[in-house]
Formats: sequence, C-alpha cells, structure tokens
Amino acid sequence: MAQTRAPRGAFCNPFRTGAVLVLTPDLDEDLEALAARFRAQGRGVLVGPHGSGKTTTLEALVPRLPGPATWLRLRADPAANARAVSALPRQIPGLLVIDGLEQLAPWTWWSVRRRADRILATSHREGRLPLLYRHRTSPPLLARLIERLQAPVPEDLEALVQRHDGDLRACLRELYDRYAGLETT
Amino acid sequence: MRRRVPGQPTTLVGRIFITLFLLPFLGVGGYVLVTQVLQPLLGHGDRQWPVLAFMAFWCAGFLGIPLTMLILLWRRSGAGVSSTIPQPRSGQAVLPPTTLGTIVPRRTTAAKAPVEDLLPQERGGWLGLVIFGAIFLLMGSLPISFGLRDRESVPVVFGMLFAGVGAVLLVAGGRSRWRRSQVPQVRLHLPGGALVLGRKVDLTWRMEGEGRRIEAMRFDLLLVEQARFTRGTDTYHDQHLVCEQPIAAVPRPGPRGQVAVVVEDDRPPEFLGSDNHLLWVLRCRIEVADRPPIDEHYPIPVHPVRPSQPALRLGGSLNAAPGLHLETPQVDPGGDLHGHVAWDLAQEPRTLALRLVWQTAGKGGEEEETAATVELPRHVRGALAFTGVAPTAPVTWPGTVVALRWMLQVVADGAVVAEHEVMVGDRGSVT
Repeated sequence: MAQTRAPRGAFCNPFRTGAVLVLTPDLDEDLEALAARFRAQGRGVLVGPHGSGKTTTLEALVPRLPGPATWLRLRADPAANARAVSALPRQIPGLLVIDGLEQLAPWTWWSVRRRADRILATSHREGRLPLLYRHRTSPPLLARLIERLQAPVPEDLEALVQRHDGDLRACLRELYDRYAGLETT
Repeated sequence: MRRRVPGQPTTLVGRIFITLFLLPFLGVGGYVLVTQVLQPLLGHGDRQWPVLAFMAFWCAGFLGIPLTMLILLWRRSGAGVSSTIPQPRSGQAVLPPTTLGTIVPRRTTAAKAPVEDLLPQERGGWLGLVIFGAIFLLMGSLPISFGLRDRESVPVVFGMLFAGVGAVLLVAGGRSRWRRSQVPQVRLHLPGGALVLGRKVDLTWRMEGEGRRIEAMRFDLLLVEQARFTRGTDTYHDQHLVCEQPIAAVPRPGPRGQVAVVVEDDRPPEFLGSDNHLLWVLRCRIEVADRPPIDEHYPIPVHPVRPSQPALRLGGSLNAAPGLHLETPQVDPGGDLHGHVAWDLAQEPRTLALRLVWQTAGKGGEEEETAATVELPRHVRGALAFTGVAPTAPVTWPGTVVALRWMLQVVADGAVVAEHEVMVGDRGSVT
C-alpha cells in the first residue's frame, strides 16, 4: 500500500517528466536490428496501446536511420492535424515519421502516403503500413522502468497497471502523485 | 448551460453559416415570388404600390445580410469592447469549467470605452432573431395581404412559409430576450486589470437584472500550479491548489459595492510558461435563491512591485579553484548577485559564457529559458569575479506539480561545464 508522504519538490521527484523522457526503450528486440529491418522494408509501423513506449522507440530509432527525417506529430485534434498535414511538402525527401498514424482520416492518409517513399509511424492499431514492432506492457516492464528511475517499486504494481489498462505513462504519472504526496490511496 | 466566450470563432462561423444557408432559400423564394407575384401584380395597374413596397422589403433584406455580416466581423475584431483582464481560456485553463451560463451578463453598451468587466460580453443574438423574424414576416405577409389568396396558390404558399419562419424567429428572439431579463447579473471590475504584490486594489461589483436574487457573494484568491504534458497523441493536464486566500464574504450584497484585494509581497508573482503555470485566480462564489451556488474563476495577473531584467557583469580576475561560487546563494527578487567563476577546460573553447537560466520540472513538459548571458574569455583556464541583478520574476518555486529554479551555468561550446543554483526569494532550494 502506498503511504501518505509529505509533499516534496518536483525536481526531486524521480517520476518527473524530464526523468521519464530520457528513459531508453525497453524492447524484446535490439534497436539496431529493428533499424536494419526497417531499412529493408522501407515502411513500417510501431503498434501498441497508449503509454506503451511507441514514441520513445520512434525517437530512438529515427537517428539510426539514414537520410533526413520529416516529423508529423499528430494529436487527438482533427483541426490541428489538418494544419500539420497541410504544412507538409508535396514530395518529402528521405523519411517521413508519423507519430499517431491512427489519427489520420482515410482520405488524408491516402494523400500523405504518396508524398514519401519511406514512412515510419506509430499507431494504436495495425493496418496501413507493414508491422515493424508490437509494443506490449506488463507489470515487470513497469518495474524495470521504475528501477531505472532509481525509485522504489510499489507493492501494488499489478493493480496499478491493471487500473490504467496497461498505460505505463499513466502509471508513472500516478506514481509521481504518490511520491509528491498528492494521493493517499 | 454553456457560457459563450467573446471572440469564440464558432459563434461567428455559425452565424455566417446560417446566413449562407439562408441565401439560397431567399434566392429560390425570391425567384418564385418575383415570377409568380410581381408579374401578375404588374399586370394590374391599380396594384403598383404593393409591388414597390415588396421590392423595398426585398432589397432591405438583401442589404441587411451583408450589413449584418460586416457588423458581426467588426464586433468580432473587438473594436467595440475591450477588457484588460484575460478571460479564462478554454485551451489553457484547466480550472473547473465556469458555470456562467446561470448568471448571464448583459451585453455592454459602453462601446469604445474601456470595459474592464470580468464577465464576458454577451452577444445580442436575440436582436438578430427579431430583425430577421420581422423581415421574413413582412415579406411573407405581402402576397397574402394583397388579395392573391384566391388567384395564385404558389405565392401564397411561399408567403405563408416566409411568414411562418418569421413568426418562429420573432418568438425565439423574444423568448431569448425575456429569459435574459430574468436571470441575475453581476459585473466585476478590477482597476488596471491586474494586481501588484503588496498593493491594495478595490474590486468593485455591480448588480444588473434580477440581481436581488443573489443572496451572498464570496471572493477568494487561489494560487494554482498548472502543468501540461504532451506525449504521442495524448495531452495531460494537471493542477494543484497551493493555497486559498479569502478576500471577502458579502451577505445580501447591494446593487454596488467593493472589496479590497491584496496579494502580500511575500507571495510569488504569476509565472506563465508554455506548459507550466503558476497562476493567481480570483474565485467568485455566488449564491442565488433557488439555484445551486455558482463558482467563477478568473486568472488575475499578479506582477512584482518593480519588474526588472536580470543582468550579469564580469569583474576582475582572481585565483580560484574551478567552479562557480556565489557569495549569497539566496537573493531577494531584484537583489544583487556577487560571485566568481573559474574554469579549467581540456581545450580552448569556441564559445564560453556565463548565463543565468530558469528551468522547470514536474508533471508538465520541462522548460528552460536564458534570462542573462555574459561571454567569458575563450581561454583554456581562467577565473573572474562577476556581479549581477537577480530577476524579480519568476521566483524560485519548490512546487508540487510545477517547480522552478534559477541556475548559473558556465557553458562551453554549448555544453554546461559547471552550474550553481541561485535561490531567488526565500522559499528554499528546489533540488
């Protein structure tokens, strides 16, 4: 059970966003092997649920790929996504990186896919692009992340992961609150 | 009930859409009326004046549409009203949604005068409904009124359609106006639209409409940390209430009144980063008879007494071990900085500088901004004294959801080679 703590400053919190963002991907496959497979395929998608590390893997993978990369970061906001897509050049040299492919409407995806030869994307579901890697979350994975953050692993780890439907980002944010004394569950 | 925020694009877009939707309707109806009504009427010399009247109304209708759109665009630009206090912005404020819909303020009539009302300016939608309703009713009633009932069925049907739409619009406009007159209205006014630490400002209120139904008002100032974090397709909003400062509780408030508002000078001024905010929020709680209490939240800018730009200046050379040293690690906002910097690098740097930066940490996206920089001699090693002026805002903030610290850094070729925290204010270190 988590205990009530006295409030602590955000810079000391091991679960602060700055500390979490520098975590490297924890994958079953080596990043170099993943990059080699993408180079062979030319197109691919990283699939996984919310908070499973897709964007982290994407950011770690792109520097290992040759050529310039054009990023298309999509949000759950169709208007903002339309603006982002309209800002893309007609012909994209090198690699097009799409974070949140599932946010694109079918007709927009039809327009975007013709602009680049090489596309690497993240998505919550398969389709549109060949599967490159499927992210899965589990309590042991969360435990490893917490240990890398040099923080104590909570006893209710499994319940925590279950409560957030496997969304490890949400789990880490709840652990931030617990550490900061914002929650006394 | 949803509150309408001034300048909300959907309002204007919606009205333009409605106007454009009406145009083809008017065009088709006009064509039928002209061919079916005017031509038969023109055939009868003794009925010229109803035709002229009808054409006058028709022209007025077509002139009225672009005029209405121009007026809407002019009002959208904010030329008629202004407020020095920012309204709660839906995209930014993570505060509980306001419930102003229950207490609807009247549209201000003080055009071009500074209107520092905290409550949003209500648009005169009811007036447009009444005007359009009247035009439609008059246009529709013409073919019915002038003896076409027995001769021409098509114009009569269109006339009745126009008249029916006009009547509905008139009723809707009248109902909207009547409902507005029934709700109590409160206007708040804060001179200058902002607070300065330690200075008292009178917050005034004015009741309008059925203001007598308000049984009590309570004002509080809240200090709130807000953080936003975007990752992947998800955006997280977090906020933490740091403290509540009661201002006044007013039972049975009169039609006008005022309360003194002051933020003590030992409190922090506001901080507005991209993803991290330290906000002062005025909470106005209104208790209305036979209604649930209403909480309104208005972010209020709170500034330091004497805003000043931080600065760094180099002094003479000295002998010291490599590193950064401050004579007083804690300084008052706007106070003097004294210290020395010494470096011993592996090779001669292309750029070397001493800089003062603020950094945030917490649940929001981390931010950093350089407030002052001074270039150091590009030698492999050296030691210099320095002086400077500490910032007045933001101050060091060891918050829970948002924390902010000031750092002195020695940066060689873009890499930080030494750093030291500067505590601005008296809230202690954040690291």
